Amino acid sequence: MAVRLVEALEGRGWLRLLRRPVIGLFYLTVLAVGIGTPLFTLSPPEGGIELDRAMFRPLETLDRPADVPEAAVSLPHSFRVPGAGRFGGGLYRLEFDHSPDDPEQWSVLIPNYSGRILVRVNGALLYDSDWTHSGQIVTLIWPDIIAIPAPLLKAGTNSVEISAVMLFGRQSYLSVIHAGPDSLLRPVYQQHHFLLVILPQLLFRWQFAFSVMLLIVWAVRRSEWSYILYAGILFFNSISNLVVVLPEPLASPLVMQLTNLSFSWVTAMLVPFAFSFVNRRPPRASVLFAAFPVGVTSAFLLLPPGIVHVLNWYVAVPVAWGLSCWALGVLSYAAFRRGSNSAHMVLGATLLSLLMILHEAPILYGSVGKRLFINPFSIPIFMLLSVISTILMWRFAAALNAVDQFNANLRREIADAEAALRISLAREQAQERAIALEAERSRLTRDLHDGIAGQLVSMVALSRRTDAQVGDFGTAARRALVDLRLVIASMAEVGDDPGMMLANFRDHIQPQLRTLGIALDWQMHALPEGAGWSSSTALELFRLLQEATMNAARHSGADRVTIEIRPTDDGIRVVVADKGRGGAADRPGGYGLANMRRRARTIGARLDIVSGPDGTNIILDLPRPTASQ
Amino acid sequence: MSSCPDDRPLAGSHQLTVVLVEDDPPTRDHLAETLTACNGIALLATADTLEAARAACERFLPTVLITDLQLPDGHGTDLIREVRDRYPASEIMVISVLGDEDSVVTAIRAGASGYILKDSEPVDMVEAVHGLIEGRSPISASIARYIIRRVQDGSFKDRKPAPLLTPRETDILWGIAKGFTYNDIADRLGLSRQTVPSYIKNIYRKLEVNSRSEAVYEAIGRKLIQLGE
Repeated sequence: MAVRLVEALEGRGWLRLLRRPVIGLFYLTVLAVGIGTPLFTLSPPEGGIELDRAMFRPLETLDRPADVPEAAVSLPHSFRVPGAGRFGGGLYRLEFDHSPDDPEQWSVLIPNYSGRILVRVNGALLYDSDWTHSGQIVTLIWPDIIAIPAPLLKAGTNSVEISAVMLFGRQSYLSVIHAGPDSLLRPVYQQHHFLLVILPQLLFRWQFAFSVMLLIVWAVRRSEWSYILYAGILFFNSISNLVVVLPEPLASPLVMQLTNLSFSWVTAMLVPFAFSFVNRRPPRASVLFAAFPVGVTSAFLLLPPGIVHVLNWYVAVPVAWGLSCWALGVLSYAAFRRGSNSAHMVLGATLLSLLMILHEAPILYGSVGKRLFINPFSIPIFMLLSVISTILMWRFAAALNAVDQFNANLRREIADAEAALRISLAREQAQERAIALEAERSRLTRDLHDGIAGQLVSMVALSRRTDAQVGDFGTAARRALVDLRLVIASMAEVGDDPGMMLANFRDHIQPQLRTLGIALDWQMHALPEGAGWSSSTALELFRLLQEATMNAARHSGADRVTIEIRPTDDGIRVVVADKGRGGAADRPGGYGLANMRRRARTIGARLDIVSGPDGTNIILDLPRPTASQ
Repeated sequence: MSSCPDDRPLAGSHQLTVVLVEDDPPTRDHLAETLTACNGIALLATADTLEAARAACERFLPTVLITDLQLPDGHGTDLIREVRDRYPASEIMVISVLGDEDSVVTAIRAGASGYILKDSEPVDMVEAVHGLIEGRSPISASIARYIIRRVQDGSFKDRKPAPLLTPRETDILWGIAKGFTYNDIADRLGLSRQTVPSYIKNIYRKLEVNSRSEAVYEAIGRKLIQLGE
């Protein structure tokens, strides 16, 4: 919730003013909760007998008390032990009265203790904590309830003997003990059990699952170093709590002891993680941090326990603290200098954890006091890790959102660009169409002007002449019509096919020749596919061929004109041939040859006229049509 | 000019009877003169409106109807469709000014089986009429091209029956469009020269729309009939 609030603050301008007070309030709340934690306690059973005094004797071995007089101590009680695998223990003897007319089942409740305990009632061993869990982890505290079999209970005074044994660690702990009806004690036990056993187990599992999840995220997005580093931190922290979930017989003691070293792995990853968490590049030397856990583990495996113990306390732990402080420094810098809200969140959670641990640290090192109702070495760390996990998930989801938004923006921009492009393309096409239309219009105007307009003018002039004959008039009109048809034929849409274009000419010339009683021998050879001619080229070509064919028909004296069209190496050859009297080249002007040459030049064709006694061949070599023509 | 130069033998022993519909008097007179002068052709009537044309067709039942498309009181296509429907034996020929593909093909789809240009020489016109009777429909490169294009782009398919041309018919149209002679086409496709015109006649038939429902559809399309009133 707080994350949401603070994240939201980043966004809006007017809320930015509230930022400092809100952050201040956040830290104050953290401090208040941290300092006030010992005030939260679970209420004792509503009945039974509270045993807060005991007779205490140190133990030499598990079964043999030291030969010293018993001393009265008050509970909760701690005693100093040698630690590091050497035997240390104490025997507590307590007494309570039982009235025989109470038919209820009685139990002994030990709400909190650390290490291993053995419970005897009236001399009979009822419980050994090794039956249910490991007693070797100094930082863990356990609750237990031990049912007293009815035959064992005596009327009057009953004795309870508790042997407390610590192998690892400095200080044993035994809280106030209750004896009384099971129905009254058990609900209280359940509360302690939930907080001290179930909750850490739940968190452990959650943490482990989250670690796997982050690993998957990282496997897909290798650039997100914070995910893999954090997965590692979660993993190793889970390992350190393996004892909470794993019954001792399932794992060898070596594994259990190794899990105690996982703090070195966690702290080695803290600094690079802190850097990547605040979006900074971790120092290149971060890889060297790996030497720390590797060194710690090898020392544990290779060196004698005594030296390991010294090294652990005087080298490893300070190094771990140093690394943690460095990571905290990185976070603080990001929080207070750069205004990173997520760094604030993590710092707040860290502060809370530290405060809780501070409550417990003195007890570990010899002072006497009541321990917290929760396990201070797992719950706050879990809490801190949960905060970080939440932030990482939050970031992940936010990144997905950003991607979605980016996608949406991109799509919109593409659509806009596409629309703009389409409009500009349409405009360009319209422009091109307009230009093409204009060019075509002016060409058509020119063609009509060159051809039919001139012929109509000539007809008008003819009509004014008094000596004009109706036949002349008809001839002029017919010529105008012929030319108009040529103009129309030249505009036919034939795609890229010169053959189709020339076919138009054939349809056009054949009736004219038939009128003159001349046969047309049309020989069309298959032409290669290629670009057609433009309308203006086609018109020049048609007019040229019209002239050549009509010359042959009118002046050669032959009764057959051959038009042959064949492909050549570099274009198309059209031959208009007759077997007439020839002599076309000798009569310049008469055949309009100059006109034909001019047209041939215009369309880039070569015109050869071979005229002799065997007839006339007008040979037109057209270049290979190209689209640009 | 108005004489028929080709004294061809009559097809069978009977004369061709002709009704001519053309609203421009000089053109009509010229065409009438040309037709009258030719042996074997009997011009029974000329008409200058759709109305007169209908009356003349009903009265004379001509072998050949020669009609213009633009008439003062309507479009020649309607006349063509009616005549095709009522007197299926009649051949119909369209007179076109410039032989533009659109009007020619529209007329073919209505049922015409030939067309002549208005300024045709007498020789051509008479030959065209005879050719028509003998089962030859004229087709120019530009008309062939037009038909191919329309069939290919599906313009004809929006109405039923779709004139699906066989590959051979399409090949023949392509040959004509590309300027090959009937001989060339026959050689290339391995046909005899005489069969090419019959293919062309077939193409004409396929394009023709003479079912009654189609005529109603066309009439609605042209807003000659209004529905729902």
